[in-house]
Amino acid sequence: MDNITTILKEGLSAIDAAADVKALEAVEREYAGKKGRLTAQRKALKDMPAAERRSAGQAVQAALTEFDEALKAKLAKFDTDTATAPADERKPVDVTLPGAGRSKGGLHVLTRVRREADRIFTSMGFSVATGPQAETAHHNFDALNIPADHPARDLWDTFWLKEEGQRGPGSLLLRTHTSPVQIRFMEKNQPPFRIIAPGETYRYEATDASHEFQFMQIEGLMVDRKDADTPVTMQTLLAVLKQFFSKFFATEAALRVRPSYFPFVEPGIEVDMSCVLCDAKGCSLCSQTGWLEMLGAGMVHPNVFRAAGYNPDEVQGFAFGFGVERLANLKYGIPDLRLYRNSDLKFLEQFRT
Amino acid sequence: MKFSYNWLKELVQEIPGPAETAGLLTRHALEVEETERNGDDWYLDIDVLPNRMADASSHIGIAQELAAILTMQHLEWNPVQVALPDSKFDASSKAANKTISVSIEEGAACSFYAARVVHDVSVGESPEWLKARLRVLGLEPINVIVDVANYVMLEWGQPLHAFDAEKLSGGEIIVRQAKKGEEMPALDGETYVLPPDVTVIADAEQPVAIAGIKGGAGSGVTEKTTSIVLESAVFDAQSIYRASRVLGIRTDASRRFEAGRTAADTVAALDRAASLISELTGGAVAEGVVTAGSDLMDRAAVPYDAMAAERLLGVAAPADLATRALTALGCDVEQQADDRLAVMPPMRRTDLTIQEDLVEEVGRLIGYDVRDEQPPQGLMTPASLPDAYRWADAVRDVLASEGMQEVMRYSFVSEALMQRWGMENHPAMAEMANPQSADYTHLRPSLLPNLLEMAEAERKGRQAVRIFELGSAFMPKAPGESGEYAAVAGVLAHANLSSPDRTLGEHAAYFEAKGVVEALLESLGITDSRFVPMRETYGFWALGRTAQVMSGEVFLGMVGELSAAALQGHEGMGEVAVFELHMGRLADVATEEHAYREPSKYPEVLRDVAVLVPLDTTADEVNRLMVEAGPDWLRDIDLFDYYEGDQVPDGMKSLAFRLAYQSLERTLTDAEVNEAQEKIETELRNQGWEIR
Repeated sequence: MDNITTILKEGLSAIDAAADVKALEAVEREYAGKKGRLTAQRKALKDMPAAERRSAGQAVQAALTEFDEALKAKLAKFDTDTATAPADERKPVDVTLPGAGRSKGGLHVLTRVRREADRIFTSMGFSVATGPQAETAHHNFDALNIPADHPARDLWDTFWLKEEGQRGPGSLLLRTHTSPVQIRFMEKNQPPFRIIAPGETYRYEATDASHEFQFMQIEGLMVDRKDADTPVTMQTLLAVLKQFFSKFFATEAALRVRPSYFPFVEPGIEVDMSCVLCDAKGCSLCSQTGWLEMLGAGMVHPNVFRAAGYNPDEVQGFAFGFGVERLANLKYGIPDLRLYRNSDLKFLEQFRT
Repeated sequence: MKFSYNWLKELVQEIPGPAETAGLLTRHALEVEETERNGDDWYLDIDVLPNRMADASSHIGIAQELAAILTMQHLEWNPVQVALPDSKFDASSKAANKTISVSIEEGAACSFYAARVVHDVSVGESPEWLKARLRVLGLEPINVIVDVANYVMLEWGQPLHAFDAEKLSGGEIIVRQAKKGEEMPALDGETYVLPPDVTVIADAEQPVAIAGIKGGAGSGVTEKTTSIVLESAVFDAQSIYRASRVLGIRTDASRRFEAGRTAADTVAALDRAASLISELTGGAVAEGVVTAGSDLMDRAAVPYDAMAAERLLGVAAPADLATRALTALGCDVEQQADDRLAVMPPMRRTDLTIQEDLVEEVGRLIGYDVRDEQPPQGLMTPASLPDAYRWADAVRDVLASEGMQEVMRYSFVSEALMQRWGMENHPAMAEMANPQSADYTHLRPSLLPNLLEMAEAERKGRQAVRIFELGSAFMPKAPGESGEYAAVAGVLAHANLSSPDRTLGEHAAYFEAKGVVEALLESLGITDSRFVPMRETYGFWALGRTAQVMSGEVFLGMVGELSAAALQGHEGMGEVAVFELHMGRLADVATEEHAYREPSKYPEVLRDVAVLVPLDTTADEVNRLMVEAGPDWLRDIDLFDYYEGDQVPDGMKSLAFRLAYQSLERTLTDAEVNEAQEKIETELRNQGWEIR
């Protein structure tokens, strides 16, 4: 029995001497672990004669209990020493409830797309110009080389404001394109310049998934003197457009050019972009052609310069115009033009990030 | 417009297959929107734009384009030719001018009129090949004479008309202006009243056709017809355009004439039709073409300068290449110097009048390649945005950060919509001459009706709706004006019982809206704004719950609740407050205000004052009294407590203000601040108010 008393005594002083939790754990292993010295005493009981076994068993058990209590007491001491805050008795919170604060606001998806276009063009030195949505026939048509009583004017189905008497150049209409801003800007500024003109435009027509009577356009106009060191050519136009589409769609856009007719440019072209979805291989978005129709453009017609008060023998430049909805459709995969102005918040709230 | 591939192939044997032909046209001439098989043939749907409607709206016109494109694909000069159709016939000995005479009267919109007479025709059905070809192109066969006239129009682009020779009274064709009150029953069964400036084809008695637009019923070809007069003429483009709009008739003929047909093919098409009719009906073509007017035209050579062309295109378009391209298109080209040409376009091409037109022809036939060599050059000037544009985007950001969602609505309203929101007495609205529908009859005088409409619909599914829009609104002051102005407006609506902020009492929506407006003004740097109670009933705004937003003496807009009357029928909206501001005025004021103000280096002294005032006295009035009575170093006044109820006498409310004194020049002493505060309190007491 001396043996067990000695072991316990040594164990208790070891507990006392332990400086931290780690040391205490080592002491526990040495005495009460699987191969510990006190544990060994208990294992030895089964080899004792039955007469001695009972009292020896009691002594071993008492030693183990005493050791264990001392260990716990020391451990508790460590805990109180390190814990600084008292127990929090306030009511707990269901931390999974929805967060407070009012819902976030957001910008319209067309504002986002328009701003991205603004950002890219302004980075290329294009300033922004604006003009009224209720325009004169002069600015929307006549000055853009679209005479009255000419079938070219039928290319634009037009909303007219009600007026007395016969329609003339001063009659008001809702601009059918942002092109009148070209005239308004040139009336007040001299080349060289490069501008874009974003804004609302209108066409008198019925709506469906691909037709809308109100939509947003961005006009572009860059003019310099003919005798400038590097005049503004059709290749300049294509370089600008290629840069723009590549940046906007974050891809290396290829362009394809086709002849077309817009009375305010000569030559007039339409520009297609390699399909953003299939990389020009052909898919349903591009009707299996590999190409997406993007915009109309061309070199400014001399009659337009004349109408704005320039001498067409001295200046040249390019103009282009495209639809902002078209860009948004392609960027976000939006299938229906009517969603932009005639939809619910569930649609608009998707574009908050 | 539909074209038959087989027909084009007859005219230009060298063309490749249908898809490839479509590709060539799209890349170099006109967009082919669709290519589709139809029996043994294919049709190409080609978008013929107004500048080419006069010359290219025919198979020969498209064939000429294809021939030019194929010619330019050859390395050597080896022009591809169009095989023009056979127009031969044996004329009978009988002279046409024995049957018919033609004259053009002064004022008639006709420069040249040609007629042929065919006798002994038997009018029956057309042969199958002719019917089939018309059907591929979307025309219904009628009888052999009409079918041939249509066929030749599709072939040559020249509209033709056939009269029954025996029904032309007096054997006369007179091209003249319609007489006052004249009418004509047309082939479509309608009777048209003819305005005096419309040109008609008349016999000795009456109009038998509306020139270039439609034939008359009385003189038409029937199964009993044995002799016909074929018309091929040149009518003035503008006159046909106007007449077709005035009468509301658009036909295949009017579309071609209004684009500017010339006399280039007038007689060729007439002869082709006579030849076909003779062949198909056994008729005898009378000797001679009876004409009036002139088939001559003033034409001028157009210069082509290769240097100028290169400057425009950005790629070389040298004289030799240009000569080939323009010759292939039928121009007479004369080289005047190394890089200068004098070009006489073919008569049919009235769209080629200036050098830029020729540059386009050369450019498209060479092909527009995209080269990556010419990014914009020149002096780089910094990009700028107009003030109003910049501020508008700043306002969008503020409103979004205030928890509002931007929306875009149509610019139109209807009177019914205005009435639904209590705005039926709106002083001025711009009305559309041709509204898109009954919902969109006027331009919106305010952004709010459409926003309210949307907010009401959205409130059905949500506790709270906060939306705003920036855009044009229209308030004309006089006829002929649009009254367009830029506006920003917002609607805040939420359920009555679950207001997000109850601390402001029962008008939480109003104070939220005002808070949004204040945040907006603050972020634009507008520091002198005031909210003045609206004193007179105006529109749907609630008297007593609406403020005019002022900056100095500039009226910026309104914020408030809707009147009880306006809210009737919209109870589902819950609490609603709205605001609408003039964006242009906001931008003007913001631009002025954005000057730097030095912050003071000296300490600030705070003093509070609470005052009991009658209920109808506004916080703003008290504020202004204090500003007037205070020194110029009274930097700021904030309302920090507002109370009405048990603790104050009936009819009174308590307002508590915090006054911040701070000088830019020195540290203020207690004594001078006390003196200033005393002066302010005395002024308030002088109003009969109690300081608490």
